Amino acid sequence: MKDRRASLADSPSAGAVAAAAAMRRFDAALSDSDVERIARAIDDNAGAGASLHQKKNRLRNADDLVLTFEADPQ
Amino acid sequence: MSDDVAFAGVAEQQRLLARGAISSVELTNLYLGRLEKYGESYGAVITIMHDRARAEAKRADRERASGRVRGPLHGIPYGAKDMLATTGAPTTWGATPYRKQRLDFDATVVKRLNAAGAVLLAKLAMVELAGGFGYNEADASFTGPGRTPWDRNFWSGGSSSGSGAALAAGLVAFAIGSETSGSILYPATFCGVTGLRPTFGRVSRHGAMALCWTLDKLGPLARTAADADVVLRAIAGSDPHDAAAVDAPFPVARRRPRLGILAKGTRKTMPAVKKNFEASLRVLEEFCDITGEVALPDLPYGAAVGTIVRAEGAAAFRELIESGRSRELRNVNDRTGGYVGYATLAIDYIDAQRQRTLMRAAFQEAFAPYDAIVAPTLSTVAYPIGVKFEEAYPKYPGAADLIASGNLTGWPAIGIPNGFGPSNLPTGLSFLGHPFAEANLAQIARGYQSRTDFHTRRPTLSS
Repeated sequence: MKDRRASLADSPSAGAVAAAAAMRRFDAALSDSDVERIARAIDDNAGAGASLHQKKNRLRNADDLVLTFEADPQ
Repeated sequence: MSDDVAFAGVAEQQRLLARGAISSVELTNLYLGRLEKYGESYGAVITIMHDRARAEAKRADRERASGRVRGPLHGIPYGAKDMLATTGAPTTWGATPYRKQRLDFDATVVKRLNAAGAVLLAKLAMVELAGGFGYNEADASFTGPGRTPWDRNFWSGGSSSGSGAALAAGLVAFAIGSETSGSILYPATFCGVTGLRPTFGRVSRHGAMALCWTLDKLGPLARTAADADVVLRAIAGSDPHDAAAVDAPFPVARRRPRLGILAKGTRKTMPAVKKNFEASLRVLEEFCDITGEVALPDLPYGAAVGTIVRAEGAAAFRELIESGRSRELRNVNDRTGGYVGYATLAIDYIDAQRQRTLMRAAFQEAFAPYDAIVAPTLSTVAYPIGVKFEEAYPKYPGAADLIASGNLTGWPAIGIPNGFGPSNLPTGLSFLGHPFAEANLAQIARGYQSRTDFHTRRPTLSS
């Protein structure tokens, strides 16, 4: 995947392009522009992933996830 | 029968039925005719269920004649988003690959409405797969774009696009929609109707298309907050087929409601949205204590909800993705969006779910002093059809809203119309409340609606 600090205006990262091109195993008719669109979105999502773990709201080791989600934490 | 009855709302229709001024069959036939006349032109309907509707209406009239009235929805006709399984019609999920899908059972919500005496008129249009693959313009359903009855050149909102449009056009008395992140509140706002997104777990999703198991909720769109409250009570409750669904009371605070105003809620919004919101606050001050601004806890809501929708959506539609049939979807982004979700990192999904634990705690702490947080529902009026969402109103992206955060925490919200903006399109006001406090929200919204008439305005339709 792309370095998360890199500009999204650049070409998609090689890792994202490889992951996107691998989707041709499901749809061989995916065009090069389809692959590029997928790759750019994968890079965008890498940025979203990074924001889930920023310094200002960094998750700690003990921060649990909810496996059965409930609205009320009480 | 006057078309006015079609816009009368559940409570008024029930009064007319009770005194014999109309029958459920007459009311049903009125709506069936309006669905035929306007349903397609507003992109609001997928299947009109003439036979089932008439049979249910006849049953309702027969029971009423014999002295049996099941409750406030007895004989009232409604529409269901076409993500809900029903007998007697395809359940298409708004998507070409599923156009012929038949799920020959009734979703729990449909069963409960049937038990309450309501009459199912139609399966309503929706954004394909409830928007889980990243659609970026209104034309994202095999039935074409949903159009707001206030101006056919503008979107009705999504993903419950037909539920909003059908209700605003007077094609149903109420509608059932769903929300993963915004799919009730967007159409409620763009169509100028009331939308109630329940607490996560309040309503069973059994028989509803799954997009995100940890976010999906079903809820009503209605003409008034009072109607929405009645519908929610009819469909709520535990269900052995949905482990997340619970029985919970509907508490109502007896004191004067305390409201917090969402800080930055009017920043970067259309001037009309800001002006209408400020006017709404003056109305709310008449019966609520408004105790100042409260900041949304600073957490990565957008990233978290996007990651969860992509990951769970890809799992929910794995078979579709791996079959290559995503290419049959209408919206260009949707045709490849499943592949993007397929590539979501597990670590990002897990961290998004871990962030929700922090979000719930932060909400409890920040919003504990308030009965509800009030904010403009959206920063703009409806988007024009044929324009990508991000290009519709780039000057007004909004600075803070309660949609992603409210969905991630599972808190309920109600959205109501509060005025009009450019092109005479509706603007919206919403209240976010504590888990299982929907009745409280409905009461506040009722207080607002008893002092204003935006919810009674009707668009001029063209067939």
